[in-house]
Amino acid sequence: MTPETSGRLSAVRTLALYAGLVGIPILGLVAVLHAGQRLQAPPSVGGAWRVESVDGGAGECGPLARGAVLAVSQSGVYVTLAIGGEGDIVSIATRLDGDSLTGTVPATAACPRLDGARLVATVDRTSAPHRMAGRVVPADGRGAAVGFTATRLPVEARGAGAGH
Amino acid sequence: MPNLLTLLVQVAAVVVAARAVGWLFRRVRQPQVMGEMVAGILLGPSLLGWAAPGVSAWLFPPDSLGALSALSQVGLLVFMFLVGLELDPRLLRDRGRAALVISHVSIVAPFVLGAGLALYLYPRLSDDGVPFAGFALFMGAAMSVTAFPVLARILRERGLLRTRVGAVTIACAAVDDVTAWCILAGVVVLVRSGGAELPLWVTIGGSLAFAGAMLWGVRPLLARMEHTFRRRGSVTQDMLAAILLLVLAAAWTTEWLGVHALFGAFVAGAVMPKGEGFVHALNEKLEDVTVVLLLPLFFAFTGLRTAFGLVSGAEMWGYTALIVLVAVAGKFGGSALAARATGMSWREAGALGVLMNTRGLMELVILNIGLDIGVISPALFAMMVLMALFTTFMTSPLLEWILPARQIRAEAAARPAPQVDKAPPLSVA
Repeated sequence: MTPETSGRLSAVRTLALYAGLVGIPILGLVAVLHAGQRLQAPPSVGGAWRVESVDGGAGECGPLARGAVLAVSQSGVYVTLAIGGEGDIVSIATRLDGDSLTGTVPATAACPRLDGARLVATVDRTSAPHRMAGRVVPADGRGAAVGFTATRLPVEARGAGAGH
Repeated sequence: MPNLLTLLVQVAAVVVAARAVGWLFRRVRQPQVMGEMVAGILLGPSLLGWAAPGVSAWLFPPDSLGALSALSQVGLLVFMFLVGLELDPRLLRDRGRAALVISHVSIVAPFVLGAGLALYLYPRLSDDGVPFAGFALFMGAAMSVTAFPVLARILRERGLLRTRVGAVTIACAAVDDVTAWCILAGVVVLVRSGGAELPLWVTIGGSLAFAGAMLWGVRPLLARMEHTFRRRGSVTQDMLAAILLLVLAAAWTTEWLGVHALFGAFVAGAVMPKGEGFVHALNEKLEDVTVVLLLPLFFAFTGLRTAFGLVSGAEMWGYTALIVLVAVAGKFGGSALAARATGMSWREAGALGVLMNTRGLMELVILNIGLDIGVISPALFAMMVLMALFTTFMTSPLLEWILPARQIRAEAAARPAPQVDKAPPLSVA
């Protein structure tokens, strides 16, 4: 094999390697981007929500009170609702399924009667501003359910709790 | 306490933590920067905020974070300038076709796998406020980055810079970083385009005009500055002021265009003259304060945003494991296979793959941008930080296993040295 021939083979081999190891994956990327167009991500619910009303059961409890701000941090279907001020924050891990949030209130000194309560909320994103309506059902029949409504605050007012 | 007092205490606490944990990591033969990254995370909600919330709230009250963030961003700007300064186009010259193929495969493979992973993660960890294309491209870019500064440091410490593996690796890492940043610039524009103040065509056209102006307008002027340096033998304070003003102006321009300030700083460094003495002199002026004082602030700020508590439950840890697996498969696997296909031995290819898999600080920078523009969520941010830590941590032990230090020394002693490398790489690690 002459140097010229080996040089051409080397160039051909390089070209083949490039086509196989770079060209084909790039085609794969195009396919991925095309396939992703059909994917549906969970609705965006992150941000700050102001509690508009609390009714039912014994009414307001701990940080869950009219005017309080619910900080919603969203990571896809995993949504954390945090309410309360310094030293009194209650964080509720929920899961988003469509427009519904479900979770369990953790044990907290802020509102003992709602410890272990089940939270179910529905988000209405067709209204302006977006509205959330939820119920907190105490565990083991420890009293009546507490209902609440909240409205989503504009982006400027969302601050650190905006999450996504 | 008043804001300035708070800031001073914060800076002191961060520097102490960074040096202490960095020292511990050096003791176990890990890069200093690895320790500093971990120190930042320990100061955040993942440890300090969880174990001593009162102390954390006193040390980092919410209204004080603006000043800390601003200082950390300034440090990052200077750091990105230094990263651009270290990048030398001559690295690829004379490395041959092998380096070209390996460098491009080492970008494309993790990029495509990262974008493919986005198909799985998007319906689970994103929301409809983020377009799939932006999410997938960001995941691809985040998977394909290599920690060029950390890698350069590891190569130098292990005496690998003068070996074929080292030379090809450093060249590939340089190409990787430039490409990843260009792609990230596109992702930022794509994600921000919906709410941007400037029309998209202004952003794209302006960015191209900016790049052109830096390459063909500013670079020739900087060449004159290097000529002055060679005549005087040092970088004067006036020269340094001019360079820093250039960095600030470039950062301002790209931020205004909607790309991100860091790109401007990076480009400013990239167009600087690459004369060995000039680069070394500039590094000496800027590196120590940046690396010792300002960069740890960035790590602390990242740590304050990293809540490992969000990664809870088997599902979330499953996602994390998958992210790590895909990251390693793409970067290590892609780079090693490409290196092998171009004729390197399995040992050399494995070493190259391990080195290219180091993500370190560059990954944190990209992830912070992603969190800032909202393309990734806090939980996904935490998972990706874990991936960055894991892939960086595994580099040194794996490299020692594949290419033991004593073997490298023996081979180097038996072989004449190839062309001399340029000024010492950025000693961020």
